[in-house]
Amino acid sequence: MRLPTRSFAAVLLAAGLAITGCGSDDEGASNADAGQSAVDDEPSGQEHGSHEDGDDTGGDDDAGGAAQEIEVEIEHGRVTPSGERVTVSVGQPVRMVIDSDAVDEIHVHAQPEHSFDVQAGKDDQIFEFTLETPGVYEAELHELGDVIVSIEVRP
Amino acid sequence: MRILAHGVGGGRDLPIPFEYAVVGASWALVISFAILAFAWRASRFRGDESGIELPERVTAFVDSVVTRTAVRALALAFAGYFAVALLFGPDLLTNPAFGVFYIYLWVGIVPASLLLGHFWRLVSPLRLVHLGLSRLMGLDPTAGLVCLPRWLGYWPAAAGLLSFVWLELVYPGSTYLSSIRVWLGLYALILLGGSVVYGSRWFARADPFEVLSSLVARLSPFGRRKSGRIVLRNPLENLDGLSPEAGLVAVISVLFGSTAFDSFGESPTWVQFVQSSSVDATLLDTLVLCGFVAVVGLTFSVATMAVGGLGHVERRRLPRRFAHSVVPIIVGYFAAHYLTLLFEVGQQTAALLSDPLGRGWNVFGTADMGVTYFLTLHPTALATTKVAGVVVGHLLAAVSAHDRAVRILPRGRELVGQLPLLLVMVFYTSGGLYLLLSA
Repeated sequence: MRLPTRSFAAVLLAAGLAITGCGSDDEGASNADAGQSAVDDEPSGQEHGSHEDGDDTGGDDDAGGAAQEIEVEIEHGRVTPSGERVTVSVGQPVRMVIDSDAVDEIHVHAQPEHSFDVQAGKDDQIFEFTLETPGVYEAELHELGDVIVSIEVRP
Repeated sequence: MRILAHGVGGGRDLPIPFEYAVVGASWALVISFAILAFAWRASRFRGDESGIELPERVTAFVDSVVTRTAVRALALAFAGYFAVALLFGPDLLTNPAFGVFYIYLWVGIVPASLLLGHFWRLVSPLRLVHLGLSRLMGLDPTAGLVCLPRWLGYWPAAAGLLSFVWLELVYPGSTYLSSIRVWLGLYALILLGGSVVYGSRWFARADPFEVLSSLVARLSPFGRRKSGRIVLRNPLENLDGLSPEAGLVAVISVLFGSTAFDSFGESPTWVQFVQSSSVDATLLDTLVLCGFVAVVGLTFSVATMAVGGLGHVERRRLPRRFAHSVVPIIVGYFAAHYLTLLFEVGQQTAALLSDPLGRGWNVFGTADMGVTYFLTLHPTALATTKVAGVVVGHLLAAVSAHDRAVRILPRGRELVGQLPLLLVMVFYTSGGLYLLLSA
């Protein structure tokens, strides 16, 4: 009775170590991957003003690095981008450049809340804000009810 | 819980890192097969017969009229306070009624039951109303007009739970007071009406909160003997004592499926799909919520019934006889999913509670209480806790299922017979981790 229990524990421990070992070996690589994909996976519907993104990842540590720019277009009751994920660092400004054919209101449900009144028929309206707490925050169009982007704020 | 988290809380948790999810899922797999290979071969759990009796004084104190009356009076006072906010407070997210209903009641009931055992039965406001009315009319509260049919089992509670999670996760108006008023109005009507017909036993089978509380309480270290004596008990033996009734599988399916749906509903993939689809978002969400619940129910039923050497009737009873074993997975995933919300929106609600009518009051002196965002500010610690919760839940679930399998499956098929269930559990756990990773 005693032996099986002991070897059971040993197997568990060994397996756990093996797995965690793998995990931490990969950590550096997959972190780099995550950093990369945050840049590479940018949805095509969304163009960026600043294109030195590759270097951005490195400079993420200093809060308030180059602003993450998101072009938003509201047309015929549709918004682009629609529900996509954008990754920024804590303290990095987010800058929305908005073209709209309708009056609406953008709410960023963070603490504190950020909101912006969108005017109709006006191009290049600028809404800039900064998120200071890690987490996922949605920027939502109040009237239309759609999520423009969810912003992943990484420490 | 999209809207509420937004309205009061701000954001939601960062996705857990990829390697955490992989490590968690690997642990789950290893644990499962280690249990299968090395764990005991004859059932050890004795359900409600197990446990160390606590001194008579403890039982006497807990069951004393003074204690019960005091606890109930407090609960009733709080329910009354909530009702004032719900009926007369402003229809804004600064109304504490939202936090009390969606966070304190729905989420808070889980840790409370885990620590205190089956407490909802004692403090349920509707049970109190029913008890009071029965006393006034000189009736026995346990006696109804007819007996509760056995085939009904937990089905009423499963329906109630589904209606609650639909309100919470799908209904676009979930953060308007009128929605909560209507839901609670129907809840009170159905429960009180049913209790007149079936007696107080109706609450134990139809009140979604009481059923949730009683399931989670089975993982608490406290239980009772048949004599009523309070005992300290290994949570796994406590869980073993859950009686397998009709509708139990439906209850666990709703609980697990809906929590998984909540994660899924926040993922960019789903949000993008819903927003680009011309089909109504509420309809899509309703269908997918029901789909998640159905997948859990189906996979669980098929996996538990996939054993040879049993007759048709015996086999059909297997899902409910194994249903208890999924409770730890549900609790672990619930903890991972709702931890930040309970902690942070819980604090915000405590602050809001001082001003139920939006008039600048400070009834409890909590109005200016600062909120600590400790968990949000420590994403690594949070992710570790979440994965640990899910893996521990899986471990307890696999052990519960194993003990039940070696007791009730036909001789020679105990191990092969539990294999499908084990795989389904790994599927639930890794699926849960995947959702924590991608949401």
